[in-house]
Amino acid sequence: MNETLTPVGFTFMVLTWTAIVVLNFFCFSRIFRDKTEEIPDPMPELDADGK
Amino acid sequence: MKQREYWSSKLGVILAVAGSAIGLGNFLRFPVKAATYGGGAFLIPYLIAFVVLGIPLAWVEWTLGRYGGKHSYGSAPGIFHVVTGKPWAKYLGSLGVIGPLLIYFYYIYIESWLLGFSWYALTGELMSAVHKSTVSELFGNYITLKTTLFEGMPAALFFFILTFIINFGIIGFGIRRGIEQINKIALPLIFFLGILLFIRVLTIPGINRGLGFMWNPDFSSLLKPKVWLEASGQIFFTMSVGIGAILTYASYIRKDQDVALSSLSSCAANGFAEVVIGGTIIIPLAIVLFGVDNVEQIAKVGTFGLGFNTMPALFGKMPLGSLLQFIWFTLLFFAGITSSISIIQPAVSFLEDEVGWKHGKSVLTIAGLSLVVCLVAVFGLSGGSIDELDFWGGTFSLVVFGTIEAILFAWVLGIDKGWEELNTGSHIRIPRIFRFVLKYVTPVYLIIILIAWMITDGWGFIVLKGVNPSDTVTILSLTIKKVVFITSFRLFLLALLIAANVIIFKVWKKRPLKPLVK
Repeated sequence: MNETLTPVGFTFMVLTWTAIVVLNFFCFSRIFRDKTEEIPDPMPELDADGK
Repeated sequence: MKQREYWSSKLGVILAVAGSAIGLGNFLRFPVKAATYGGGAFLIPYLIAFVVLGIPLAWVEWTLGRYGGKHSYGSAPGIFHVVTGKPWAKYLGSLGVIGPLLIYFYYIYIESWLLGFSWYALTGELMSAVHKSTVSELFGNYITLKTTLFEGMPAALFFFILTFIINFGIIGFGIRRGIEQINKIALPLIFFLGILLFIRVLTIPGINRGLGFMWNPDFSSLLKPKVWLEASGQIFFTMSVGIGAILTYASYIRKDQDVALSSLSSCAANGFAEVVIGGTIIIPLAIVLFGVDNVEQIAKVGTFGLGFNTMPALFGKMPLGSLLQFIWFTLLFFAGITSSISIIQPAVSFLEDEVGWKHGKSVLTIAGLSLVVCLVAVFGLSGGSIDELDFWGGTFSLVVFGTIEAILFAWVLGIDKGWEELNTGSHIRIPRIFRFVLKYVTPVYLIIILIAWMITDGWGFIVLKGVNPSDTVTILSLTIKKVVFITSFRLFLLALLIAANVIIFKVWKKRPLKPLVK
Protein backbone atom coordinates (compact mmCIF):
# COMPACT_ATOMS: atom_id res chain seq x y z
CA MET A 1 0.00 0.00 0.00
CA ASN A 2 3.05 2.27 0.02
CA GLU A 3 2.36 3.82 -3.33
CA THR A 4 0.30 6.44 -5.07
CA LEU A 5 -3.32 5.80 -5.93
CA THR A 6 -3.41 2.86 -8.35
CA PRO A 7 -6.08 2.47 -11.07
CA VAL A 8 -7.76 -0.23 -8.94
CA GLY A 9 -7.68 2.02 -5.87
CA PHE A 10 -8.99 4.93 -7.88
CA THR A 11 -11.82 2.74 -9.23
CA PHE A 12 -12.68 1.60 -5.69
CA MET A 13 -12.74 5.15 -4.42
CA VAL A 14 -14.80 6.53 -7.29
CA LEU A 15 -17.28 3.64 -7.27
CA THR A 16 -17.81 3.90 -3.52
CA TRP A 17 -18.22 7.67 -3.59
CA THR A 18 -20.58 7.40 -6.56
CA ALA A 19 -22.71 4.73 -4.86
CA ILE A 20 -23.06 6.89 -1.75
CA VAL A 21 -23.78 10.09 -3.65
CA VAL A 22 -26.38 8.30 -5.82
CA LEU A 23 -28.06 6.87 -2.71
CA ASN A 24 -28.17 10.34 -1.17
CA PHE A 25 -29.57 11.82 -4.37
CA PHE A 26 -32.19 9.07 -4.58
CA CYS A 27 -33.33 9.65 -1.00
CA PHE A 28 -33.16 13.41 -0.67
CA SER A 29 -34.66 14.16 -4.10
CA ARG A 30 -37.75 12.26 -2.92
CA ILE A 31 -37.75 13.92 0.47
CA PHE A 32 -37.61 17.43 -1.00
CA ARG A 33 -40.06 16.59 -3.81
CA ASP A 34 -42.77 15.67 -1.30
CA LYS A 35 -44.45 18.83 -0.15
CA THR A 36 -45.15 17.76 3.39
CA GLU A 37 -47.04 20.19 5.52
CA GLU A 38 -45.60 21.53 8.74
CA ILE A 39 -47.07 19.50 11.56
CA PRO A 40 -48.82 21.88 13.97
CA ASP A 41 -47.76 22.19 17.57
CA PRO A 42 -49.36 19.64 19.86
CA MET A 43 -52.14 20.77 22.13
CA PRO A 44 -51.02 22.33 25.39
CA GLU A 45 -50.93 20.13 28.42
CA LEU A 46 -54.34 19.53 29.96
CA ASP A 47 -55.03 19.37 33.63
CA ALA A 48 -56.87 16.57 35.41
CA ASP A 49 -60.25 18.09 34.51
CA GLY A 50 -59.34 18.20 30.85
CA LYS A 51 -59.19 22.01 30.82
CA MET B 1 -53.26 13.86 30.36
CA LYS B 2 -50.41 14.97 28.23
CA GLN B 3 -50.22 15.31 24.45
CA ARG B 4 -46.87 14.07 23.11
CA GLU B 5 -44.75 16.22 20.85
CA TYR B 6 -44.16 15.47 17.16
CA TRP B 7 -41.31 16.48 14.87
CA SER B 8 -42.37 19.54 12.93
CA SER B 9 -41.33 18.07 9.56
CA LYS B 10 -40.10 14.92 7.90
CA LEU B 11 -36.72 16.54 7.20
CA GLY B 12 -36.46 17.46 10.88
CA VAL B 13 -36.51 13.85 12.08
CA ILE B 14 -34.19 12.71 9.27
CA LEU B 15 -31.64 15.36 10.23
CA ALA B 16 -32.00 14.48 13.91
CA VAL B 17 -31.36 10.77 13.27
CA ALA B 18 -28.51 11.59 10.89
CA GLY B 19 -27.15 13.94 13.55
CA SER B 20 -27.34 11.13 16.06
CA ALA B 21 -25.39 8.84 13.74
CA ILE B 22 -22.81 11.36 12.54
CA GLY B 23 -20.35 11.66 15.37
CA LEU B 24 -16.69 11.35 16.19
CA GLY B 25 -16.57 7.82 14.75
CA ASN B 26 -17.24 9.09 11.25
CA PHE B 27 -14.21 11.36 11.18
CA LEU B 28 -11.80 9.53 13.47
CA ARG B 29 -12.67 5.85 13.83
CA PHE B 30 -13.63 4.96 10.26
CA PRO B 31 -10.47 6.21 8.49
CA VAL B 32 -8.22 4.45 11.01
CA LYS B 33 -10.13 1.17 10.64
CA ALA B 34 -10.17 1.38 6.84
CA ALA B 35 -6.46 2.19 6.60
CA THR B 36 -5.57 -0.56 9.10
CA TYR B 37 -7.77 -3.30 7.67
CA GLY B 38 -7.15 -3.44 3.96
CA GLY B 39 -7.62 0.07 2.57
CA GLY B 40 -10.13 0.01 -0.28
CA ALA B 41 -10.79 -3.70 0.31
CA PHE B 42 -12.21 -2.82 3.76
CA LEU B 43 -15.08 -1.20 1.92
CA ILE B 44 -16.26 -4.60 0.66
CA PRO B 45 -17.22 -6.04 4.08
CA TYR B 46 -18.17 -2.54 5.18
CA LEU B 47 -20.72 -2.06 2.40
CA ILE B 48 -22.03 -5.63 2.82
CA ALA B 49 -22.58 -4.92 6.53
CA PHE B 50 -24.18 -1.59 5.60
CA VAL B 51 -26.78 -3.41 3.46
CA VAL B 52 -27.49 -6.51 5.56
CA LEU B 53 -26.95 -5.10 9.03
CA GLY B 54 -27.05 -1.31 9.16
CA ILE B 55 -29.98 -0.47 6.91
CA PRO B 56 -32.24 -3.36 8.13
CA LEU B 57 -31.54 -2.60 11.79
CA ALA B 58 -32.26 1.09 11.21
CA TRP B 59 -35.58 0.10 9.59
CA VAL B 60 -36.34 -2.11 12.59
CA GLU B 61 -35.70 0.75 15.04
CA TRP B 62 -37.71 3.31 13.07
CA THR B 63 -40.61 0.89 12.70
CA LEU B 64 -40.67 -0.19 16.34
CA GLY B 65 -40.28 3.42 17.47
CA ARG B 66 -43.18 4.70 15.39
CA TYR B 67 -45.35 1.81 16.59
CA GLY B 68 -44.52 2.60 20.21
CA GLY B 69 -45.23 6.28 19.65
CA LYS B 70 -48.78 5.42 18.57
CA HIS B 71 -49.29 4.19 22.12
CA SER B 72 -47.46 7.17 23.62
CA TYR B 73 -44.38 5.15 24.49
CA GLY B 74 -41.04 6.81 23.83
CA SER B 75 -38.45 4.40 25.11
CA ALA B 76 -37.54 0.75 24.72
CA PRO B 77 -39.37 -0.77 27.74
CA GLY B 78 -42.80 0.50 26.67
CA ILE B 79 -42.12 0.04 22.98
CA PHE B 80 -40.95 -3.57 23.38
CA HIS B 81 -43.97 -4.46 25.50
CA VAL B 82 -46.55 -2.87 23.24
CA VAL B 83 -44.95 -4.15 20.03
CA THR B 84 -44.57 -7.75 21.13
CA GLY B 85 -47.49 -7.98 23.53
CA LYS B 86 -45.15 -9.87 25.87
CA PRO B 87 -44.83 -8.41 29.39
CA TRP B 88 -41.26 -9.76 29.81
CA ALA B 89 -40.08 -7.76 26.80
CA LYS B 90 -40.23 -4.50 28.77
CA TYR B 91 -37.36 -5.66 31.01
CA LEU B 92 -35.16 -6.27 27.97
CA GLY B 93 -35.97 -2.69 27.02
CA SER B 94 -34.17 -1.38 30.10
CA LEU B 95 -30.93 -1.80 28.13
CA GLY B 96 -32.24 0.79 25.66
CA VAL B 97 -32.50 3.34 28.49
CA ILE B 98 -29.40 2.58 30.57
CA GLY B 99 -27.10 1.69 27.62
CA PRO B 100 -27.26 5.13 25.96
CA LEU B 101 -26.97 6.81 29.35
CA LEU B 102 -23.70 4.96 30.00
CA ILE B 103 -22.38 6.20 26.65
CA TYR B 104 -23.49 9.71 27.52
CA PHE B 105 -21.62 9.67 30.83
CA TYR B 106 -18.26 9.65 29.01
CA TYR B 107 -19.18 10.96 25.57
CA ILE B 108 -20.04 14.39 26.92
CA TYR B 109 -16.61 14.66 28.55
CA ILE B 110 -14.90 13.92 25.23
CA GLU B 111 -17.30 16.34 23.52
CA SER B 112 -16.22 19.03 25.97
CA TRP B 113 -12.55 18.46 24.99
CA LEU B 114 -13.58 19.47 21.48
CA LEU B 115 -15.09 22.70 22.73
CA GLY B 116 -11.95 23.35 24.74
CA PHE B 117 -9.67 22.70 21.78
CA SER B 118 -11.87 24.91 19.52
CA TRP B 119 -11.19 27.64 22.08
CA TYR B 120 -7.43 26.93 22.05
CA ALA B 121 -7.46 27.02 18.23
CA LEU B 122 -9.26 30.35 18.30
CA THR B 123 -6.89 31.91 20.81
CA GLY B 124 -3.81 30.61 18.97
CA GLU B 125 -2.68 28.57 21.97
CA LEU B 126 -2.92 25.37 19.94
CA MET B 127 -0.81 26.83 17.15
CA SER B 128 1.80 27.90 19.63
CA ALA B 129 1.85 24.34 21.03
CA VAL B 130 2.33 23.04 17.48
CA HIS B 131 5.35 25.34 16.99
CA LYS B 132 6.84 24.14 20.28
CA SER B 133 5.90 20.50 19.49
CA THR B 134 3.98 20.28 22.75
CA VAL B 135 0.49 19.42 21.46
CA SER B 136 0.46 16.02 23.16
CA GLU B 137 1.59 17.68 26.39
CA LEU B 138 -1.20 20.26 26.09
CA PHE B 139 -3.71 17.46 25.50
CA GLY B 140 -2.37 15.31 28.34
CA ASN B 141 -2.43 18.18 30.82
CA TYR B 142 -5.88 19.20 29.66
CA ILE B 143 -7.58 15.84 30.15
CA THR B 144 -5.88 15.20 33.49
CA LEU B 145 -7.22 18.57 34.75
CA LYS B 146 -3.76 20.15 35.08
CA THR B 147 -4.44 23.03 32.68
CA THR B 148 -6.28 25.89 34.36
CA LEU B 149 -8.40 28.62 32.87
CA PHE B 150 -10.02 31.17 35.18
CA GLU B 151 -9.12 31.55 38.83
CA GLY B 152 -7.30 28.25 38.81
CA MET B 153 -10.33 26.30 37.60
CA PRO B 154 -9.30 23.29 35.48
CA ALA B 155 -10.02 24.16 31.84
CA ALA B 156 -11.40 20.69 31.20
CA LEU B 157 -13.89 21.11 34.05
CA PHE B 158 -14.99 24.54 32.79
CA PHE B 159 -15.63 23.32 29.24
CA PHE B 160 -17.27 20.17 30.58
CA ILE B 161 -19.78 22.20 32.61
CA LEU B 162 -20.40 24.50 29.64
CA THR B 163 -21.00 21.53 27.32
CA PHE B 164 -23.23 19.94 29.94
CA ILE B 165 -25.37 23.09 30.19
CA ILE B 166 -25.63 23.34 26.39
CA ASN B 167 -26.73 19.70 26.14
CA PHE B 168 -29.40 19.87 28.79
CA GLY B 169 -30.47 23.32 27.58
CA ILE B 170 -31.28 21.81 24.19
CA ILE B 171 -33.05 18.82 25.74
CA GLY B 172 -34.98 21.20 27.99
CA PHE B 173 -36.48 22.92 24.96
CA GLY B 174 -38.00 19.61 23.89
CA ILE B 175 -38.17 17.69 20.65
CA ARG B 176 -39.18 20.29 18.10
CA ARG B 177 -37.87 23.49 19.68
CA GLY B 178 -34.68 21.97 21.03
CA ILE B 179 -33.44 18.84 19.31
CA GLU B 180 -34.99 19.52 15.90
CA GLN B 181 -33.84 23.14 15.77
CA ILE B 182 -30.24 22.40 16.75
CA ASN B 183 -30.03 19.62 14.16
CA LYS B 184 -31.40 21.90 11.46
CA ILE B 185 -28.47 24.23 12.15
CA ALA B 186 -25.75 21.73 13.05
CA LEU B 187 -26.15 19.22 10.22
CA PRO B 188 -25.75 21.73 7.36
CA LEU B 189 -22.84 23.25 9.30
CA ILE B 190 -21.16 19.84 9.73
CA PHE B 191 -21.47 19.15 6.00
CA PHE B 192 -20.31 22.65 5.07
CA LEU B 193 -17.22 22.50 7.31
CA GLY B 194 -16.54 18.90 6.32
CA ILE B 195 -16.67 19.71 2.62
CA LEU B 196 -14.37 22.72 3.19
CA LEU B 197 -11.76 20.44 4.77
CA PHE B 198 -12.41 17.77 2.10
CA ILE B 199 -11.63 20.27 -0.67
CA ARG B 200 -8.62 21.65 1.17
CA VAL B 201 -7.12 18.18 1.66
CA LEU B 202 -7.75 17.13 -1.93
CA THR B 203 -5.89 20.19 -3.21
CA ILE B 204 -2.68 19.46 -1.26
CA PRO B 205 0.26 18.58 -3.52
CA GLY B 206 1.01 14.85 -3.26
CA ILE B 207 -2.44 13.86 -1.95
CA ASN B 208 -2.27 10.99 -4.45
CA ARG B 209 -0.03 9.14 -1.98
CA GLY B 210 -2.46 9.70 0.87
CA LEU B 211 -5.43 8.53 -1.15
CA GLY B 212 -3.39 5.56 -2.35
CA PHE B 213 -2.75 4.47 1.24
CA MET B 214 -6.42 4.89 2.10
CA TRP B 215 -7.97 3.34 -0.99
CA ASN B 216 -5.57 0.92 -2.74
CA PRO B 217 -7.17 -2.43 -1.93
CA ASP B 218 -5.30 -5.21 -0.17
CA PHE B 219 -7.51 -8.14 -1.18
CA SER B 220 -5.62 -10.62 1.00
CA SER B 221 -7.14 -8.85 4.02
CA LEU B 222 -10.57 -10.17 3.03
CA LEU B 223 -9.47 -13.64 4.12
CA LYS B 224 -9.02 -12.44 7.70
CA PRO B 225 -12.15 -12.79 9.93
CA LYS B 226 -10.95 -9.81 12.00
CA VAL B 227 -11.43 -7.51 8.99
CA TRP B 228 -15.08 -8.60 8.63
CA LEU B 229 -15.65 -8.22 12.36
CA GLU B 230 -14.16 -4.73 12.39
CA ALA B 231 -16.16 -3.64 9.33
CA SER B 232 -19.40 -4.89 10.88
CA GLY B 233 -18.51 -3.25 14.19
CA GLN B 234 -17.86 0.03 12.45
CA ILE B 235 -21.31 -0.08 10.81
CA PHE B 236 -22.84 -0.67 14.21
CA PHE B 237 -21.02 2.22 15.86
CA THR B 238 -21.50 4.68 13.05
CA MET B 239 -25.19 4.24 12.33
CA SER B 240 -26.40 4.71 15.90
CA VAL B 241 -28.20 1.37 15.77
CA GLY B 242 -28.53 -0.80 18.86
CA ILE B 243 -28.47 2.20 21.19
CA GLY B 244 -32.14 3.01 21.56
CA ALA B 245 -31.81 6.58 20.30
CA ILE B 246 -33.47 5.99 16.93
CA LEU B 247 -36.23 4.07 18.67
CA THR B 248 -36.98 7.13 20.81
CA TYR B 249 -36.66 9.66 17.99
CA ALA B 250 -38.97 7.59 15.77
CA SER B 251 -41.61 7.51 18.51
CA TYR B 252 -42.15 11.23 17.92
CA ILE B 253 -43.24 10.87 14.29
CA ARG B 254 -46.87 10.68 13.20
CA LYS B 255 -48.47 7.24 13.03
CA ASP B 256 -48.86 7.29 9.23
CA GLN B 257 -45.56 8.98 8.41
CA ASP B 258 -43.02 7.19 6.21
CA VAL B 259 -40.20 5.37 7.99
CA ALA B 260 -38.61 3.41 5.13
CA LEU B 261 -37.34 6.35 3.08
CA SER B 262 -36.62 8.52 6.10
CA SER B 263 -34.47 5.81 7.65
CA LEU B 264 -32.62 5.17 4.38
CA SER B 265 -31.99 8.91 3.99
CA SER B 266 -30.38 9.14 7.42
CA CYS B 267 -28.21 6.11 6.64
CA ALA B 268 -27.18 7.69 3.32
CA ALA B 269 -26.30 11.03 4.92
CA ASN B 270 -24.23 9.22 7.54
CA GLY B 271 -22.46 7.21 4.82
CA PHE B 272 -21.56 10.42 2.98
CA ALA B 273 -20.13 12.03 6.11
CA GLU B 274 -18.15 8.89 6.95
CA VAL B 275 -16.84 7.46 3.70
CA VAL B 276 -16.59 10.53 1.48
CA ILE B 277 -15.64 13.25 4.00
CA GLY B 278 -14.23 11.26 6.94
CA GLY B 279 -12.27 8.90 4.70
CA THR B 280 -10.60 11.76 2.88
CA ILE B 281 -9.39 14.01 5.67
CA ILE B 282 -7.39 12.42 8.44
CA ILE B 283 -5.39 9.50 7.02
CA PRO B 284 -4.59 10.93 3.54
CA LEU B 285 -3.48 14.18 5.17
CA ALA B 286 -1.34 12.35 7.74
CA ILE B 287 0.33 10.31 5.01
CA VAL B 288 1.15 13.36 2.89
CA LEU B 289 2.53 15.48 5.72
CA PHE B 290 4.10 12.83 7.98
CA GLY B 291 5.05 10.24 5.35
CA VAL B 292 4.08 6.64 4.83
CA ASP B 293 6.91 5.37 7.05
CA ASN B 294 5.29 6.93 10.11
CA VAL B 295 1.82 5.68 9.33
CA GLU B 296 1.91 2.71 11.69
CA GLN B 297 2.80 5.00 14.56
CA ILE B 298 0.08 7.39 13.42
CA ALA B 299 -2.51 4.63 13.44
CA LYS B 300 -1.28 3.26 16.78
CA VAL B 301 -1.90 6.49 18.69
CA GLY B 302 -5.59 5.66 18.43
CA THR B 303 -8.53 7.81 17.52
CA PHE B 304 -8.13 10.39 20.30
CA GLY B 305 -4.43 10.74 19.66
CA LEU B 306 -5.19 11.25 15.99
CA GLY B 307 -7.93 13.75 16.57
CA PHE B 308 -6.35 15.81 19.33
CA ASN B 309 -2.59 15.47 18.70
CA THR B 310 -1.98 14.56 15.08
CA MET B 311 -4.62 16.70 13.40
CA PRO B 312 -3.72 20.01 15.09
CA ALA B 313 -0.08 19.33 14.19
CA LEU B 314 -1.02 18.54 10.58
CA PHE B 315 -3.19 21.62 10.16
CA GLY B 316 -0.51 23.66 11.90
CA LYS B 317 1.86 22.87 9.05
CA MET B 318 -0.56 24.35 6.51
CA PRO B 319 -1.33 27.98 5.66
CA LEU B 320 -4.17 29.35 7.80
CA GLY B 321 -3.42 26.56 10.24
CA SER B 322 -5.27 28.12 13.18
CA LEU B 323 -8.41 28.50 11.10
CA LEU B 324 -8.22 24.89 9.90
CA GLN B 325 -7.72 23.69 13.48
CA PHE B 326 -10.75 25.71 14.55
CA ILE B 327 -12.86 24.30 11.69
CA TRP B 328 -11.76 20.76 12.61
CA PHE B 329 -12.67 20.99 16.28
CA THR B 330 -15.88 22.93 15.64
CA LEU B 331 -16.95 20.31 13.10
CA LEU B 332 -16.28 17.54 15.62
CA PHE B 333 -17.98 19.44 18.44
CA PHE B 334 -21.19 19.86 16.45
CA ALA B 335 -21.00 16.22 15.33
CA GLY B 336 -20.62 15.33 19.01
CA ILE B 337 -23.45 17.46 20.32
CA THR B 338 -26.02 16.14 17.83
CA SER B 339 -25.07 12.63 18.94
CA SER B 340 -24.97 13.31 22.68
CA ILE B 341 -28.43 14.86 22.84
CA SER B 342 -29.81 11.80 21.07
CA ILE B 343 -28.42 9.47 23.72
CA ILE B 344 -29.88 11.40 26.66
CA GLN B 345 -33.35 11.53 25.14
CA PRO B 346 -34.27 7.82 25.71
CA ALA B 347 -33.85 8.27 29.48
CA VAL B 348 -35.80 11.56 29.44
CA SER B 349 -38.57 9.96 27.36
CA PHE B 350 -38.63 7.00 29.74
CA LEU B 351 -39.35 9.25 32.72
CA GLU B 352 -41.88 11.31 30.77
CA ASP B 353 -43.78 8.65 28.86
CA GLU B 354 -43.41 5.56 30.99
CA VAL B 355 -43.12 7.00 34.49
CA GLY B 356 -45.41 9.93 33.70
CA TRP B 357 -43.26 12.80 34.98
CA LYS B 358 -43.36 16.29 33.51
CA HIS B 359 -40.70 17.25 30.99
CA GLY B 360 -38.84 19.66 33.28
CA LYS B 361 -38.68 17.20 36.17
CA SER B 362 -37.48 14.41 33.84
CA VAL B 363 -34.75 16.59 32.32
CA LEU B 364 -33.54 17.82 35.73
CA THR B 365 -33.46 14.29 37.16
CA ILE B 366 -31.39 12.94 34.27
CA ALA B 367 -29.17 16.04 34.39
CA GLY B 368 -28.52 15.52 38.12
CA LEU B 369 -27.75 11.82 37.69
CA SER B 370 -25.53 12.53 34.69
CA LEU B 371 -23.60 15.24 36.49
CA VAL B 372 -22.72 12.94 39.37
CA VAL B 373 -21.66 9.99 37.19
CA CYS B 374 -19.88 12.23 34.67
CA LEU B 375 -17.79 13.75 37.46
CA VAL B 376 -16.93 10.24 38.70
CA ALA B 377 -15.88 9.45 35.11
CA VAL B 378 -13.86 12.68 34.83
CA PHE B 379 -11.97 12.16 38.09
CA GLY B 380 -11.74 8.40 37.62
CA LEU B 381 -10.24 8.63 34.14
CA SER B 382 -6.92 7.16 35.30
CA GLY B 383 -8.80 4.31 36.99
CA GLY B 384 -10.36 3.27 33.69
CA SER B 385 -13.85 4.71 34.26
CA ILE B 386 -14.22 5.79 30.63
CA ASP B 387 -13.02 2.41 29.34
CA GLU B 388 -15.65 0.74 31.54
CA LEU B 389 -18.46 3.00 30.31
CA ASP B 390 -17.33 2.55 26.71
CA PHE B 391 -17.27 -1.23 27.08
CA TRP B 392 -20.60 -1.71 28.85
CA GLY B 393 -22.54 1.13 27.19
CA GLY B 394 -20.78 1.65 23.88
CA THR B 395 -20.00 -1.94 22.94
CA PHE B 396 -21.62 -4.69 25.00
CA SER B 397 -25.05 -3.12 25.39
CA LEU B 398 -25.03 -1.97 21.76
CA VAL B 399 -24.53 -5.41 20.24
CA VAL B 400 -26.82 -7.19 22.73
CA PHE B 401 -29.60 -4.62 22.35
CA GLY B 402 -29.32 -4.66 18.54
CA THR B 403 -29.60 -8.45 18.57
CA ILE B 404 -32.65 -8.28 20.85
CA GLU B 405 -34.34 -5.75 18.56
CA ALA B 406 -33.72 -7.82 15.43
CA ILE B 407 -35.11 -10.97 17.08
CA LEU B 408 -38.15 -9.20 18.59
CA PHE B 409 -39.00 -7.65 15.22
CA ALA B 410 -38.61 -10.71 13.02
CA TRP B 411 -39.48 -13.54 15.39
CA VAL B 412 -41.63 -12.26 18.26
CA LEU B 413 -43.66 -9.59 16.49
CA GLY B 414 -43.29 -11.75 13.39
CA ILE B 415 -41.88 -10.85 10.01
CA ASP B 416 -45.33 -10.56 8.37
CA LYS B 417 -46.58 -7.97 10.83
CA GLY B 418 -43.21 -6.28 11.03
CA TRP B 419 -42.95 -6.02 7.25
CA GLU B 420 -46.47 -4.62 7.02
CA GLU B 421 -45.71 -2.05 9.71
CA LEU B 422 -42.44 -1.04 8.01
CA ASN B 423 -44.25 -0.49 4.72
CA THR B 424 -47.13 1.51 6.19
CA GLY B 425 -46.96 5.01 4.73
CA SER B 426 -43.73 4.11 2.94
CA HIS B 427 -42.53 6.45 0.19
CA ILE B 428 -40.34 3.77 -1.37
CA ARG B 429 -40.87 0.17 -2.34
CA ILE B 430 -38.50 -1.94 -0.29
CA PRO B 431 -37.28 -4.98 -2.30
CA ARG B 432 -38.82 -8.20 -0.93
CA ILE B 433 -35.39 -9.73 -0.50
CA PHE B 434 -35.16 -7.62 2.65
CA ARG B 435 -37.93 -9.71 4.22
CA PHE B 436 -35.51 -12.61 4.09
CA VAL B 437 -32.61 -10.41 5.24
CA LEU B 438 -34.61 -9.08 8.21
CA LYS B 439 -35.83 -12.52 9.23
CA TYR B 440 -32.65 -14.57 8.85
CA VAL B 441 -29.54 -12.70 7.79
CA THR B 442 -29.56 -9.75 10.21
CA PRO B 443 -30.28 -11.76 13.40
CA VAL B 444 -27.79 -14.52 12.50
CA TYR B 445 -25.17 -11.94 11.48
CA LEU B 446 -25.64 -10.18 14.82
CA ILE B 447 -25.37 -13.37 16.85
CA ILE B 448 -22.14 -14.27 15.01
CA ILE B 449 -20.72 -10.79 15.71
CA LEU B 450 -21.68 -11.06 19.36
CA ILE B 451 -20.01 -14.45 19.81
CA ALA B 452 -16.92 -13.53 17.78
CA TRP B 453 -16.51 -10.27 19.66
CA MET B 454 -16.86 -11.98 23.04
CA ILE B 455 -14.15 -14.45 22.06
CA THR B 456 -11.72 -11.91 20.62
CA ASP B 457 -12.12 -8.89 22.92
CA GLY B 458 -15.12 -9.01 25.25
CA TRP B 459 -14.28 -11.80 27.66
CA GLY B 460 -10.73 -10.57 28.27
CA PHE B 461 -12.08 -7.17 29.29
CA ILE B 462 -14.76 -8.63 31.55
CA VAL B 463 -12.24 -10.73 33.52
CA LEU B 464 -9.87 -7.73 33.77
CA LYS B 465 -7.17 -9.33 31.66
CA GLY B 466 -4.21 -6.99 31.58
CA VAL B 467 -5.02 -5.28 34.90
CA ASN B 468 -2.26 -5.93 37.40
CA PRO B 469 -3.79 -6.75 40.84
CA SER B 470 -1.19 -4.53 42.52
CA ASP B 471 -1.98 -1.46 40.33
CA THR B 472 -3.30 1.50 42.25
CA VAL B 473 -5.12 4.67 41.16
CA THR B 474 -5.37 8.03 42.87
CA ILE B 475 -8.78 9.70 42.62
CA LEU B 476 -9.17 13.05 44.37
CA SER B 477 -6.17 12.31 46.60
CA LEU B 478 -7.61 8.90 47.56
CA THR B 479 -5.38 5.99 46.54
CA ILE B 480 -7.08 2.65 45.97
CA LYS B 481 -6.40 -0.55 44.06
CA LYS B 482 -7.45 -0.32 40.43
CA VAL B 483 -9.25 -3.66 40.65
CA VAL B 484 -11.30 -2.36 43.59
CA PHE B 485 -12.16 0.84 41.71
CA ILE B 486 -13.25 -1.02 38.55
CA THR B 487 -15.27 -3.57 40.51
CA SER B 488 -17.03 -0.85 42.52
CA PHE B 489 -17.73 1.09 39.35
CA ARG B 490 -19.20 -2.01 37.70
CA LEU B 491 -21.41 -2.66 40.71
CA PHE B 492 -22.67 0.90 40.47
CA LEU B 493 -23.52 0.44 36.78
CA LEU B 494 -25.29 -2.81 37.63
CA ALA B 495 -27.24 -0.98 40.34
CA LEU B 496 -28.40 1.55 37.73
CA LEU B 497 -29.70 -1.26 35.53
CA ILE B 498 -31.46 -2.91 38.46
CA ALA B 499 -32.99 0.44 39.48
CA ALA B 500 -34.36 0.93 35.96
CA ASN B 501 -35.97 -2.52 36.11
CA VAL B 502 -37.48 -1.86 39.53
CA ILE B 503 -39.00 1.38 38.19
CA ILE B 504 -40.39 -0.50 35.18
CA PHE B 505 -41.90 -3.13 37.48
CA LYS B 506 -43.54 -0.51 39.72
CA VAL B 507 -44.82 1.67 36.86
CA TRP B 508 -46.40 -1.27 35.04
CA LYS B 509 -48.00 -2.47 38.25
CA LYS B 510 -49.91 0.82 38.40
CA ARG B 511 -50.72 1.10 34.69
CA PRO B 512 -50.22 -2.08 32.66
CA LEU B 513 -50.35 -0.85 29.05
CA LYS B 514 -51.40 2.34 27.31
CA PRO B 515 -54.11 2.35 24.65
CA LEU B 516 -53.64 3.43 21.05
CA VAL B 517 -53.59 7.20 20.51
CA LYS B 518 -56.40 8.29 18.21
